[in-house]
Amino acid sequence: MKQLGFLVHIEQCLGCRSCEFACKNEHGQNDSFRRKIHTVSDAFMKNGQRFHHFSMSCNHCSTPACLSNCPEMAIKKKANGIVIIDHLKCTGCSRCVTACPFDAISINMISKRADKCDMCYDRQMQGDSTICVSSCPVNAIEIIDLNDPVNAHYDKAVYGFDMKKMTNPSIRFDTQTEPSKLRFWSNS
Amino acid sequence: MLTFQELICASPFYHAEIIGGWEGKEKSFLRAEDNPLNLGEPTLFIVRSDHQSISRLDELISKQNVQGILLYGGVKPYIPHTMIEIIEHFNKPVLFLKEEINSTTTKKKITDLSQLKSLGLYHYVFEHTTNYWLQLIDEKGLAGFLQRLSLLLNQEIFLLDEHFYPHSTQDIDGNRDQFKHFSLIYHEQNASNKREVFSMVQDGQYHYFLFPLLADDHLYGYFLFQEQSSMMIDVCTEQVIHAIPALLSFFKKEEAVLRAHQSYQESFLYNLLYNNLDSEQVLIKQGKQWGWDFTKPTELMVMRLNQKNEAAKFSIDMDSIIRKVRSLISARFLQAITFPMQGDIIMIVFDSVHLLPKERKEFTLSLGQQIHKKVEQDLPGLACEIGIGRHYPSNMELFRSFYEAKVALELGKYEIRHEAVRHFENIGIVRLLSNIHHHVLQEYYEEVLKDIFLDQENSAVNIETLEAFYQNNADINQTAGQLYIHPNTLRKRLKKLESILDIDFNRLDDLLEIYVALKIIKMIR
Repeated sequence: MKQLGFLVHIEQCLGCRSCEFACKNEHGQNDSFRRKIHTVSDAFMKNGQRFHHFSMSCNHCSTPACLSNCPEMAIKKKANGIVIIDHLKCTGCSRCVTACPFDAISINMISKRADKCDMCYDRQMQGDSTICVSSCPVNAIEIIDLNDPVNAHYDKAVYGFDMKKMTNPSIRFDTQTEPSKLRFWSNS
Repeated sequence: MLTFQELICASPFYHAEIIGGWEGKEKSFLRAEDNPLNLGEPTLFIVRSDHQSISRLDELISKQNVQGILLYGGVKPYIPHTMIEIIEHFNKPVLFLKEEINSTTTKKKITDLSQLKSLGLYHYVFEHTTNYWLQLIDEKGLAGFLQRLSLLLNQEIFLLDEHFYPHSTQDIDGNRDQFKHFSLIYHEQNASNKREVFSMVQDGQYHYFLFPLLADDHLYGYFLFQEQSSMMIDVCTEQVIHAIPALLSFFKKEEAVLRAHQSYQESFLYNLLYNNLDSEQVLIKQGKQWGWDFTKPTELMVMRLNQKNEAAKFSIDMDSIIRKVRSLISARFLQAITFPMQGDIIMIVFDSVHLLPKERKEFTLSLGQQIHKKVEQDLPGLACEIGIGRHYPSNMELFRSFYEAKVALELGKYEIRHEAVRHFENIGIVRLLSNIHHHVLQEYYEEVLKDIFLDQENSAVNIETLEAFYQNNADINQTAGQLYIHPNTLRKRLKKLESILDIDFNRLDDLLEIYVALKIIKMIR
């Protein structure tokens, strides 16, 4: 069985929000984002002079809290590990919103139903990549199979960002610094 | 001169049914003949199968030069028992070929076969028998295949697995270990070369043929049969050698089917645990394919195994543990599905409809404890933990049970009293804390215990004291014993903590506040 998940290349992410807006455009969100950019300070230079960005949405957890909390049995986890909401069954009760430890679910104000990242399930079924991956100008996001041993070396957490591990989120971080890919900004 | 054993290896005679007299399979003949007046030399008499010819069988078989009879065409003849006894008495094979054949063509065919044999080219005929064996095993299965091969060799043939145990399709009288000693004899004799087509092994005064069933370096088992005094060794071995590829192809097909079956089973169980099934009808219908009755209530447990000693790395044999768990559950006359998933072992136990909710919980806990005890007893290097989910009236909600069992496993670690078998209902307040975001929890415990953390020098000792105090149910003597301090020292320390935190340990509210803060510390750290 596969477990698809996001791999974030911490050193490459610019925090440009291209993924956020591309996702919003693709999925017709009105005023909320399925994907959010987080900013954390660096592990070694904690004085704020150097910091990282990374993009996060639903983590398609191995043991999703939303799935078991839904009274309508509207949330399911597909064979490739993607957690999706059946909008026909969802009544918008918000139990999944409170159950999710990553704030990845919100209520769509237009449809009054729960809404979250479905890892562009329809696009993937057609053989396309997710919109966030396609739109990232620096290839900072990837979709990987976490059950593939070649991906076992990636980090499960990133310094400065406290995550609940109980649900076993399917997100990995590539924190390896490649000097050629480092970017510096100067205020002067 | 052609023997009957050789004839039956050639097309179309390999389809022939043996009516009787197969003891005389080594009898040879020069030609085939359908005229009873023309029997000047050893002959295979061919005759159309009808009532008249059947009634004349005793007369025909008694003729000196008739070495055997081939009946052909029509339906299988009814041959009276007395007639079969006569055939057996003469030891002359009588065969029945369902196919319509032309006597002239058959005569020519047999002449050609005799010529091939005299030229030393009969191995080409043997090579074609593999097609027949493939067809036979496809139509009649392994049992039909073994029956035919035994019949042709006129003796019992044993199909053994790679460990020299009889294959499950073979109904063998006596001990299943009776062939184990052949393993030693075979490995001693063939220590240097294990790629021989067959080996002769001696067991006491008897000699046996042992054919390894080997394909692509995978050993599927062995064929074993005894050497008989009158045996035409070359013909018998040719027959077996050319039957083996069909058997190997059958085993490979079975393997592929099993793999596909397992992958369907895996995907069904995944769908069950992740709410991917459309309806209860689908669940019941699909479960029936594997003999699981999902109309019965179920309990779900998740077992996690960790090595006790991190330094002593060894691989955990999940299969043997699963077998152990299965036998334990079946010893209680219960049906269960036990399978690995994401490094854990999942157990879905079907139980009685008549149990009350409290009885159901006790029953599951006792089963979990029994499994835990057995696993830790048999595998002392492993730490076994079991999480149990709640029971739901519909099996469609097993995914909730699965989540709860995993939560019980994860959060049980933060319990003050550590229990290896944990029910979701028993994990207490941590269940609520698991649904609250980390930053809210962090804010809470920092606020409650901030005055302890301000005193950096003593904060670790103070937290340890509080933890021990709660662990021992606020019993001063027991807590002091655990901390190796005098009770009065502990009293003094607690008084100091009360003044630092501005609380009173005699008030339930304050006790609970600190208890929750301590749990959060354990969870977050």
